[in-house]
Amino acid sequence: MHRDFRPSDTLESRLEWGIEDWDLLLNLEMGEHTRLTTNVSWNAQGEAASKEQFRLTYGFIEHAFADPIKLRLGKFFIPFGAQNMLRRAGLATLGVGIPQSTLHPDLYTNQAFKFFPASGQGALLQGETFFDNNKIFEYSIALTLGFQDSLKEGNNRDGNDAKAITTRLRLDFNQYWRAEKSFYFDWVAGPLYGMLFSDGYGLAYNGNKLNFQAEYVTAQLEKNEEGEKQKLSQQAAYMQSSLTLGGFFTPYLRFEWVDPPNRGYQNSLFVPAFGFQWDIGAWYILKSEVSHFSYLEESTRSASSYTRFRFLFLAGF
Amino acid sequence: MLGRLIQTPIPKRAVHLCCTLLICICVLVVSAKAQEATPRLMVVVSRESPIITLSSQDVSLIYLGKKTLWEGDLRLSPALLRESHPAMQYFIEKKLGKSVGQFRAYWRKLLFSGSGTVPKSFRREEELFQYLENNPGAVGLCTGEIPLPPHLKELTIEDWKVP
Repeated sequence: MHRDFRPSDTLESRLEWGIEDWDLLLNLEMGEHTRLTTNVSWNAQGEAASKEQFRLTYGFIEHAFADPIKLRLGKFFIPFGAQNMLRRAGLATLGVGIPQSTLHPDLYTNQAFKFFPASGQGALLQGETFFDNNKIFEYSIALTLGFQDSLKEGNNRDGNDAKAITTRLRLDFNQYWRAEKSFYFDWVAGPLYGMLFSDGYGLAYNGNKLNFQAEYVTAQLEKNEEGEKQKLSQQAAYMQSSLTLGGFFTPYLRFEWVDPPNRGYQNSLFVPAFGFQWDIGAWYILKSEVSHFSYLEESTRSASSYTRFRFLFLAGF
Repeated sequence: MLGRLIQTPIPKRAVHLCCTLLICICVLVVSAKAQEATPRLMVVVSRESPIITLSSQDVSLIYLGKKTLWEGDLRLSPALLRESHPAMQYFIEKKLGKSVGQFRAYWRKLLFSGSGTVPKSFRREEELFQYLENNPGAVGLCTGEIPLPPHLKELTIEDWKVP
């Protein structure tokens, strides 16, 4: 469950209270090698926001041939970067929300496009191997339905002949350091766009008290405009560091940056954020975050900014 | 009265007695802390389980959800006592290299991304033993505070540097 306090789209102050999301997670072990996992979500604003009120966030069957070879079939989160598979897991992430700059940059500015969809339908092969005492290598290769012309979610509609390939390689050098590299190739369906290629890099340090995480994603998107092919380039990054005090209170600082396709003028967006996470109990967490958005309005090309305060209480059971 | 007390010389025997008592208290505190810092840990499975021995790294990988199959045939299900138990805290910090908070966050990530099932945790060892008895693939971590029932066996752990 979570609730945001934030200004409305028209930048007027607004304060609301309610239960926004409800997630029901099911994990069924079907024998020694196979399991079924589903996550059904209910969104309070679904109907009002022209979204599905109930939806299958993910649902797949996983067969483990061995620990290094596991095959998933169904709908699953795209294995790109460190955060995408955690997008519905407020209990598992540090901030009130996950850094959207590398996942959903179009939420921050309508001049940006998504680097990859949140979830996909198809097959995912993944596994882990261990070597040299405590090094872990993890790979994920997914073949899914690709984006359609709108570059939005809901790419499971009939007649979608677009296909996408995602690859993520991760290396844990030791218990503290992890590096990863992700690719996303999408042959976007429809006449408006051509190929989308996203390329991501990540680095994380998980100390006992000090934590650090950084990601950088760049993308090239082919666009067909009046019979001519244009190549749009976009990049985004974030850095987040935190310090756990007393084992339960973790203040953090985050800096996000989105550079949408250049349209002949500077249109980058910067989002500094400061917040904390307070672990009240094993399954109860209190979070708060202040973030500041400053960007260029496309219509007027004038600088615009606003500050957002968010508060979140999470209960898992 | 107070002035007279201060002026009274303290007998040597009393000084010796005080010093001896102080040393005894220090020794007791240090030994108690040492005992607290290195609790007894046992890795236990059902007698029906084909597992006889594990390496120290295997134990870590099982409790981090990275080793889920035994010889490609048996699904491994880690189980332990509540994280508030000092022996479990010791295991998580010294053997897995994580704080209890990090251990919880780690498993939440796996759970919510659909990548794993959180280890079962029990309030009492009797409950843990009952779970192990009914699940041949279950691997349990206990303290040996109560005697091991006949249907369970303790595993030999290579390089397991705990008492």
